[in-house]
Amino acid sequence: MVWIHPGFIYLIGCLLIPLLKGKIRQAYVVLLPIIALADLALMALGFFGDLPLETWEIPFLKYTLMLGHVDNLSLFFGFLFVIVSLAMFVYASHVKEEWQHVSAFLYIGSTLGVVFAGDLFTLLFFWEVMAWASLFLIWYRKTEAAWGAGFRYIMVHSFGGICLFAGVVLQLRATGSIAWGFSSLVDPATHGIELPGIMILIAFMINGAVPPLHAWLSDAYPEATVTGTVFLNAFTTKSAIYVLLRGFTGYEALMWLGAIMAVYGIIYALIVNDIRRVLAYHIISQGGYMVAGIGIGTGLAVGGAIAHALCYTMCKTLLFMSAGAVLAATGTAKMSDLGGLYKSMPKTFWMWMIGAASISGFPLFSVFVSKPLVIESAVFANQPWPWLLLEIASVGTFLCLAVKIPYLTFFERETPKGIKAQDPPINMMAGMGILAVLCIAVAVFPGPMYHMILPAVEGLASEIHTFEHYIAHPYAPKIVVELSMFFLFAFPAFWWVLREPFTHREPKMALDLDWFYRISGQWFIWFCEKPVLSFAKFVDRLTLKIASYFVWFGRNPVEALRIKHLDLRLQLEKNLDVTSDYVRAYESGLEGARQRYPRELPRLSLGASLILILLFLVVYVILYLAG
Amino acid sequence: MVAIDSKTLLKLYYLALVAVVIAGLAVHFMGTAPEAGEVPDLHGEEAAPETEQEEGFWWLEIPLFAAGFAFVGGIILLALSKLGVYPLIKVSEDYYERHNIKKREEQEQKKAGGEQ
Repeated sequence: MVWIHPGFIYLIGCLLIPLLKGKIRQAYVVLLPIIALADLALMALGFFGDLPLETWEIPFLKYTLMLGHVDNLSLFFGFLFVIVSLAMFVYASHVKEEWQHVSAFLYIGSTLGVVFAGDLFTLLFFWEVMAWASLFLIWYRKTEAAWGAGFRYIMVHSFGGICLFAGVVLQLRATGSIAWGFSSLVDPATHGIELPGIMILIAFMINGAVPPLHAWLSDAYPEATVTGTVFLNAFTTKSAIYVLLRGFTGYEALMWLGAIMAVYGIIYALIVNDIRRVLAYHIISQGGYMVAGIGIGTGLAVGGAIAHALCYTMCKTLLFMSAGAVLAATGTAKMSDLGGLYKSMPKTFWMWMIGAASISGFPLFSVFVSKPLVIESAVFANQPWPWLLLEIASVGTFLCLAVKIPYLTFFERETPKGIKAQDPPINMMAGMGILAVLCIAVAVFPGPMYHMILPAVEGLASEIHTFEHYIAHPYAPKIVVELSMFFLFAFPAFWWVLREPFTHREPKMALDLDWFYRISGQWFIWFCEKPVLSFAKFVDRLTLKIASYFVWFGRNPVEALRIKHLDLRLQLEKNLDVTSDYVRAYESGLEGARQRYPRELPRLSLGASLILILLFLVVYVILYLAG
Repeated sequence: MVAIDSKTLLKLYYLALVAVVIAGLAVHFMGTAPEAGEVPDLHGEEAAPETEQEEGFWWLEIPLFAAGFAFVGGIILLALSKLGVYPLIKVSEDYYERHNIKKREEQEQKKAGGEQ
């Protein structure tokens, strides 16, 4: 049976969307992910051959591109992306702008292209398509803020693309190979990486929103369309996690970066006003767990990171969907403008709470079977500081998403006047419902997920037994009780101690590291437009003036010299206190000479011309020899 | 839909607190960590190696450590973010618009044109 690339189901399938209308289009956008899911299921069942599968090889220059590199890791991420995309398209099926659907399909298709890429050129190609396709999900909001955020988004991603390109070229030069995904870029002996690896890592870190390269995410995602943000949240950062797993598992610096990410993101998530921006910062925080897991590199850490990619993406998408429902219903996602929505949007509230319970890691909710693995791996690896940062970020996640936002958005006060809200239409509720069920199902029955992950972990990590040991007892009483205690005792920290400061709802924004390029970028543009451009204009004018003078002079050099001589004499005589009548007469004579210029050209004899030519030649030779 | 009665919820919360503290103490002192030998054979090959018992950090051995950590950690994190970081970085929502040099120049030009 011929293998079909699931990404191409999206990439080619989307071409028909503009031709379809109404219910048929709605059905079609849901059908495509179902076909892709069936394709993946066939892959998992071995219909296309045993894993690892290497197929869709295309000759390109003197290399061979491999579009289909399917192993346990790529298959797992393929399932992750296709399953969440199915729920997303159910949620977004009501969107009337067909090109918004097209860009979403191109975005997801190219993400799957990245996942199944078996060489660096293919990876680079789909990496770029992913950035450009996702841009339109931001611009489709059609606001000035969205336009600006989209522009900054693509600038940052273009820089990332350049880094990746540089890394690919350097890697090709160093190894002569474009192979990707078969071995780590981290040197197993020194645990270091070479320059090509550093360039590739920077590109991956940009997409993974690893601080200080993260600000594009919290800047752009909240400005996208209601459904656009839902799509954006899942693919760019998680595909970055996937490529980090492939290339940099066990690179210790990532453990520290991940731990810092987790706390950095949660601090911002706790203080920003816009719910979608809260969630955007929280992507950074949760990405930190996965990045830290990759950095720790043991079986438990890597397995936890992979499991977290699935569990967390499902519940974060559910949260973005709920926030989108609030935005669609009320016209705002700012907590300073919201409150008391429980009465009018109870179903949305419960969907939010399922997402919040899942992302916090409540027992029987999705993240319970993923995040604790990464935190526990820091204990096994004897890393107290990363453990502390990851643990404290966990407390923050619960307080932020399960306590603060529901309280301020759905309760605390009456809905402000002018805001009329109701639960979203059926398709949006259905999209949320699918993910809510999955969030619980994956936690109640984590076995299939763990067994899919295990072969992938074996190929990537050390100390596999740590993972095997943990997944044998994910609901060990110690873990369940400790986590329950964790949440129950974190709650009073907000409710009884520090609730009051958070109820001061200020329509403010928090500055982040994008300040540097947003402000300095403006000054740079101003510097280019004002001083540099003014200087360029001045040079331009001066050059033209000199050129026109030489043209004027060249018409009749003898007469021109006479006019200049007269001009000089006039200036001199003016200064020598000569009578004004004389000067006036002289001036009119000079004016006449200027008007008559260039007159009839003096005719030189052949000999005089030769002498002049020789003279010029001698001057030229002297200048040449002197130079 | 579920009617939320805050008093009932609070009572339930206290009950849960007591229950979880008792459970936490029980788990701590009775020790319910799974035996290494219980690890199932996941490969269909050899049994998983004898897993060394988690050594952990010394503070994890303190009874009810998770409870204290969550409460104190929560307060520190909330205070740090809202009372420490936020006042330093908060700006009005039109901050970047106000600092948009082009717009500012356009406004100044308009103003100058109006005055003339």
